[in-house]
Amino acid sequence: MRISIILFVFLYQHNIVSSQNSTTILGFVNNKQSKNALASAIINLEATQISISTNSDGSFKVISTLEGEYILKISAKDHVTQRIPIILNGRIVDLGTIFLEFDITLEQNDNLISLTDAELFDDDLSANATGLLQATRDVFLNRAAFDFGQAFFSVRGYDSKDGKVLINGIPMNKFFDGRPQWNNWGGLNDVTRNQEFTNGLQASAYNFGAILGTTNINTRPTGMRSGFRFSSSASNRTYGGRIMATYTAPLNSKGLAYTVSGSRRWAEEGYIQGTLYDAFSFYGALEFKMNEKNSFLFTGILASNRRGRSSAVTEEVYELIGNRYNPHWGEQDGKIRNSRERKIAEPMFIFNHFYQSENVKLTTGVSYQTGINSRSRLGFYNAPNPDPTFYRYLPSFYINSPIGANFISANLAKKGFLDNPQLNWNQIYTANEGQKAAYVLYDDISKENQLTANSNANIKLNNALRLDAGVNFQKMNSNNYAQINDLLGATFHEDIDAFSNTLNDTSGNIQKNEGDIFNYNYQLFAEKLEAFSQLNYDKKALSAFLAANYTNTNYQRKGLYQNERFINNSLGLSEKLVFSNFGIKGGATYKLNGRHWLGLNAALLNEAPVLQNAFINPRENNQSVSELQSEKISTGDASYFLRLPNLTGRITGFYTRFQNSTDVNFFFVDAGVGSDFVQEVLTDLDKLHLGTEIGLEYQISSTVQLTAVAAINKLVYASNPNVSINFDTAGAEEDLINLEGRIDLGQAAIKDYKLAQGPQQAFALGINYRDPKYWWVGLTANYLGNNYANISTITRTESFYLDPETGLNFPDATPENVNALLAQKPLDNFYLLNLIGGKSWLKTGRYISVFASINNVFDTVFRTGGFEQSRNGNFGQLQQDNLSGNPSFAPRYWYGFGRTFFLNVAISF
Amino acid sequence: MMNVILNILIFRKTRTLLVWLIGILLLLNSCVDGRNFDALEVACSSNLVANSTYAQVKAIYVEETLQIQEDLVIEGFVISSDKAGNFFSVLHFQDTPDNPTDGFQIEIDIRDTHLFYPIGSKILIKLKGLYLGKSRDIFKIGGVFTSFGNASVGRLPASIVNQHIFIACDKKSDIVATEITLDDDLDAHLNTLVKIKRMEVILEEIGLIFSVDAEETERTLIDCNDQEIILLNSGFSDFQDEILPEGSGTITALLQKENNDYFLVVNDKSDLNFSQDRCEDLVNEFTSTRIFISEIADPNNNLGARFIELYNSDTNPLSLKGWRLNRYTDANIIVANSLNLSDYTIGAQSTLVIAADASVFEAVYGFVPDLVGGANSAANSNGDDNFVLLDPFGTLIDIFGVIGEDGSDTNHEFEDGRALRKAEIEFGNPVYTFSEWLIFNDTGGSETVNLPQNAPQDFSPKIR
Repeated sequence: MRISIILFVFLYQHNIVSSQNSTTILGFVNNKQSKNALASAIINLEATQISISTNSDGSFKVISTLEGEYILKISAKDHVTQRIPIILNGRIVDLGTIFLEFDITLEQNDNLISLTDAELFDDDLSANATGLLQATRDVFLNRAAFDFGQAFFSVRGYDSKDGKVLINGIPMNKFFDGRPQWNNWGGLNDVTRNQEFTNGLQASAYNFGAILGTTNINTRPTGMRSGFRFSSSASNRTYGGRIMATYTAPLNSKGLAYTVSGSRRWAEEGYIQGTLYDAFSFYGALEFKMNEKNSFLFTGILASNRRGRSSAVTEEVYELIGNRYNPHWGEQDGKIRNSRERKIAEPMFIFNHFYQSENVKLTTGVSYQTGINSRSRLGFYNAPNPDPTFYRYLPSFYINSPIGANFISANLAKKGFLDNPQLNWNQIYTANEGQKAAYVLYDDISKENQLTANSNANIKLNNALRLDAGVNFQKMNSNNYAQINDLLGATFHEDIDAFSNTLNDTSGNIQKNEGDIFNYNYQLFAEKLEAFSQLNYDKKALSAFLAANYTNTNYQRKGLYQNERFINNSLGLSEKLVFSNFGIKGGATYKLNGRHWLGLNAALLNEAPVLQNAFINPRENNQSVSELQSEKISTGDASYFLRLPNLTGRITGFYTRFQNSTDVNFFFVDAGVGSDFVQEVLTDLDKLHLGTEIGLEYQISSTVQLTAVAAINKLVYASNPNVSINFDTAGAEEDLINLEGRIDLGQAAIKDYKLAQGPQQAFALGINYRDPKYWWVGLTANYLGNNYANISTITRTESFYLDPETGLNFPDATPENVNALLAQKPLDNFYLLNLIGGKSWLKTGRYISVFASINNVFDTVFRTGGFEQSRNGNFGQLQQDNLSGNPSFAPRYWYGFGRTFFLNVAISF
Repeated sequence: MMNVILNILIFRKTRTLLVWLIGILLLLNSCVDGRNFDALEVACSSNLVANSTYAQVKAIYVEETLQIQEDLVIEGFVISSDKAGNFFSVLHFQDTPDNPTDGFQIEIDIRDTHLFYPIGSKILIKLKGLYLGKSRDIFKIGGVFTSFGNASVGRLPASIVNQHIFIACDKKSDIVATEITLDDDLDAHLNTLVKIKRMEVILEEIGLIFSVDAEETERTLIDCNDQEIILLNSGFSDFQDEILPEGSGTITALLQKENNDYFLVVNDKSDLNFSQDRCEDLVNEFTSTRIFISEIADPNNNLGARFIELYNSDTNPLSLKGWRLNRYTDANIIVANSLNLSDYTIGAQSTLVIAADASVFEAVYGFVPDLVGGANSAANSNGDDNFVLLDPFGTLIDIFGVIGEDGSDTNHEFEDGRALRKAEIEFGNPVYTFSEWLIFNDTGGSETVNLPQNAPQDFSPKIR
């Protein structure tokens, strides 16, 4: 069930057309290695609705009145699909025995998961959605996931929140950022392998879907291969080692089947220094097949993932110390200690009921998920910033000094940094020798509980029409707070805002100890009700669908601390933010003939903003973005599909416009209107994504395949959004920007600036060789270009021209000078060569496979993305900082991995 | 449901299943370090030994800032703190915790250094590679910066500080501030922590704040003996906008000197422990009518040998603090010269000789005068000028001549001659009385004697 194109074959398998002038196709399907018959292999006549599955002896018989040249596709789970050209002319076609080979590229999916881990680098980076694509056999999406993914290419420039992930029909996207949290089932590759992916706007039978597509993960033990599977991996990317074991008991006479699985992944550090990896996962599922129509399923998933984080760095830091550098860690007692760890442990329990009759399929589920998402941080209070890459510690600080460049000091700073580039835990313990902590290691924790109920029906109305409908309700509450993990030798922490000398909690104890909650403490509540309905038409050359959805979303915050800086709106409940939205989408595929298809899809969607963009400063107050708007998405795509016997592929053009988006950022800025730590709110933000996707596969011979893929996108800001900044008014009056705590900076002139959604151009050429002796190698050469760092919006507002000293425009802030300073430059284009290969054996009933990949064979250094720092928020300061060409507040970049490997050995029996 | 659970247990491969589950569990605690770390013992350096004194280091300096090339190590005890922000990016240290003999300073580009080098900590500094310089007579070590081609010591970049400053393993010492008074030889205590008692803010600055915002500000302290010293405050300290204390008491501070000016810098405002009452106004100015002009000389043969002599007929010596000897030239009614006698004490039944010219006087009379009045003073009169002696309170104690009247041809002309107070006179007289004087000149008018006098034989300085 890995292929979206053969969705819902079950609806048709009893409907084989039979007539007098028909052609009969006969044959058997066997496994090539074991020679055993393959039951439930799927025989599909491409471009028709004819699709059947093989009997228990592997035999099949297809009868059709059609005439002409067709391609018969034979596919089976975990096997390589075969496409056989045939001519239907009213005679019997006997294909004899067709042998399907085990698909050892399956192991590639494990590899992909290790790539998606890179999404964890940080949230400053927009997450791409490679994880979503693993179930596809579309060559374009394959390259996007397995090859371009390492360079943070994102399909159509979409964020991972634009893709939906379901487990047994239950949505997994989070309220907070709209993204699925892959770590919730990370390491359980064996049991999450049964996936159906619906690309883009195509109709999903499970869900209204999202613009990037929908993946449904099926955890039913009856859908899994029975027996043991054990695998072990080694890599130098994110984890160093992984072991994984799975056992599935087949359906027994009592109607029970179960699967258990567990895995462990670990590393002292990954490719990036200091990025420890400490993850384990457990899974158990029990299915009870009550009768032919009703099945019950209980699934429990516990995945705990603890990681050491890394940081984006400026080019200066990269030039000094390279692309594996990570400032967040330092040695303590001879061991790596990372000050920024992230731990996600959110176990979930799902109960499902499946009903299936001839014309109705009903899937119902209830899930409960609870757990923590925690990030550690080293706080410093009236103490020097412990980050060795803090701008005052770097050579550029002395080069960019306003009293003149000091090259001697710059050299000393360079020597000092290179001799001791890591976090100095010794210093931190020294500083904490006094009673009061100067440094505190604490966790920002979100403790979430979510209950979801979902029901989905697929009703066959007649031979051509199918109705899908579903309703879904999600309710979430979360506690969000900072908690002291380690006082690092000190006796207590004084919980006072060090900048304004105000209390974070007016009624709490000021002295905090290890384990205490401090700084902020609030709850978030979210509810979402969604209903959708979809009508599918499928007859002869035309298949089409039309779908509509309705969502009702509400958000609310409740402050548990009264913050002295926001006495009146920090404690208690905020107003409730309510969003009601409709969306429609539709599409059609027209088959000119068996070899040439055309497809067209369009959608008009309205979506509530994600929770993280609803409240401006939820740690401190109840303020929400004023006149918060739902995001409007208008999108369409057109595709041409080619299905020749040896050449398949597609070309797609797409257009998507996001409108009325909202974004909230926070940073310290020296703006034209003054300096402060601010929350920046962008409203009326529009984005335009358009581009072309091309993917071609050419089968030169039965062993050699060539692939060619191209993505040429244009991803730009399409409006000048409104920018306002918010700040507290607790400091000395003369230091404040104003007394209202908010200032509207007007529009930011960012229209036509490029989006930072990964490379906007990507090309790949690949060659695969599949040897009859069960080994296989592949090579892809990739070229990625037109990648841009994220721009700062505040520097594109009128306030950038203002001199904070005088309140007047800088005399030399002419449009020419400003534009030259703010011009967006692309990151370097680069080539990547990737190698993969594998071999499998079948020995005394044990199937053994080895899979290996080497990414970035030539160890190319490249930047995957980055962002401009907003610190220099006025022309004078940005210009001064850039004079030397080595600015202190230069953009920060993420650097991709150099040459890395992944090796996996698996055995199943 | 119970039935379902029981069914799992009888599945055939249950035992194998358990085996690998346990295997996985065993692996859970392997390979990766947990989050719990034991608190670190604070790192210190026990093998580094000082091999040089501050004086030896300072002696390396010749005229301009230089980089130290020798493997020198000095040690010291930290005496400054940036906790309150009065010091910034600098560490001051002295050679011993008590009774120090020398102090030094290093400039470093780190904030909140008190967290790492609190007062009393013993530090060792590897000097090789650091810069040594001197500005306004203060020796400094640190990094370097150049402006207009001149190198001066600047802040050492933060990232390299740990390669030069080391904390010794010795326990933190209590710094004992050396107790001094402003009368002591301050140079002996420069750049060390001192304690001075009975200090207060001068009257004029009572009510002011420590420092103007963002500007280094000088305030003046005074002791009960009316000796003054500058208190230097940073414009960025935490207490910059607080009012100076009104009372009197002890100050503990770093004693520093720029060029010739001494000043004190405190670590925090609590270093000014001014909780006592202010000093009583010191009664150190006294009046007496027993002090008067006893001889005035304008030698006919030697203008340079002019002098004027005062006499104290009392049996106790008297401080002349606040006393002045004014000269009115010719017929002028405005003081032409006012000689401050504050620094002198006149002995019991002794004279104070004020010469016009020290070297001539000594050559002529054979001894050094008590003071030199100078060209326009009462000591250098051509015989027709008038003189008054005023006490510290401005009271006229004695007069020679009549103000507004040129002495020529009057009874107070002593041109080329001598005016001598008669031996029996024991008190000053605010009214000029000719009868109290013997006057010699070159005209002999108004009962004076026309007999020009020659030095030294006709005069008697220092003798009454």
